[in-house]
Amino acid sequence: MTLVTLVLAAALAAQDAGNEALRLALKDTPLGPEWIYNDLDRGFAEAKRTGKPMLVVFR
Amino acid sequence: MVQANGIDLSLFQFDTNLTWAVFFLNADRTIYGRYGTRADKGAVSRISTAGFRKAMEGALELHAAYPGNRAALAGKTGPAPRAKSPDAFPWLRQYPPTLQPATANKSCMHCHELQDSFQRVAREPGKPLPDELLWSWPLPEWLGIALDPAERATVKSVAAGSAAAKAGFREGDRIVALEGQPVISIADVQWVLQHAKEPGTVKADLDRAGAKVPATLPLARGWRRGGDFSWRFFVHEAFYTGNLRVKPLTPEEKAPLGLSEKSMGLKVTRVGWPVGPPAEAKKAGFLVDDVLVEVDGQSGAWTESDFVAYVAQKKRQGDKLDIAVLRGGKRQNLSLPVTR
Repeated sequence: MTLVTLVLAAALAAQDAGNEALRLALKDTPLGPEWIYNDLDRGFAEAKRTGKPMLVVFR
Repeated sequence: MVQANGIDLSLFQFDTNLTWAVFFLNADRTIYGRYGTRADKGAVSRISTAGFRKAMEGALELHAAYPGNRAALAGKTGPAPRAKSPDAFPWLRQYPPTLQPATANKSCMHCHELQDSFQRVAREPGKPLPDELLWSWPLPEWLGIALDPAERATVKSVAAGSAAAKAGFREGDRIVALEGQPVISIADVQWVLQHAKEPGTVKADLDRAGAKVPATLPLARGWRRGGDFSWRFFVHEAFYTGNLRVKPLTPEEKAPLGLSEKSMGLKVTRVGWPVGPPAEAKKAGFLVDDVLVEVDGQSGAWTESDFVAYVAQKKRQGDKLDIAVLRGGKRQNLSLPVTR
């Protein structure tokens, strides 16, 4: 279980790093930690986990 | 979301000429509402932080009532699209399904390319473009309702003699639902109007100072025509007019040219495109400042939208437009091929 948690955490961290690299490449506005950047799958997963509605912004 | 690459078109159906568009969703893909409206090149005249806040509050109310309101929300998901994703269009396959930082700037598909693609597919068999692809995402103003961007689908004014006036809409009314769908924004109103049958009617539930008031909005045949879509990207790219862009003269500008208020007077503002084709207008000899006074024998007071709609609905690829222009005070006849 601990190994799985570590692998998942590493995967998420890599995803965050990739999305941040994309944001920088696009010279996009810095966003706060409450935003999930350009990752719809992660958005749906988080909404399912928390039971909260999603706010999806296309721009 | 900063890309339209790989977008799921069965879920995300919206005005792709917006610079900023919002969906409120449940995790199970049920749509609570949309936010984002554009009426002109400026892009922000119909949105506000106050209105957005109220739309968000509306979405939270709908979420709190879910799934009890599931049936009412069903209509907010669009019909099965002809193309489920952008790569269904061969000319959009140049874009990868996901953006990579190293190539992001060159491989980012623009949302407006979707509407361009829908039009292209509809046009290719040589058919006229339907009204819903030209006058798409109709503004409630086209029916006489001006909604306040700072409120939640609330009527700011009603044009005298309009369809909305005849239906009994009044200033201050809040549109609670259309065709049974809860409405939390101007975009939600546009969604229903975009999909409404024509001719037909749209049933409205209004809140008038706390009282529930029903209304029925009539949609006459051709009700969208007369709306302005000249700010849209496909007009900027001038696909249908061989890269000729025009702007209607005011009555004051027409008078010195001997043109009446009811006469056509479309001043050429652009001929050609710096990045490539189409260039038919340039080859045909049009010049900036030419004034179109007649197109195929028609000389009424057209707007640029009227001109583009005429080509897209009355002409086919390979046809020619016989156009008379005023240049230096003299009338000259030019022929413009239709290339799309």
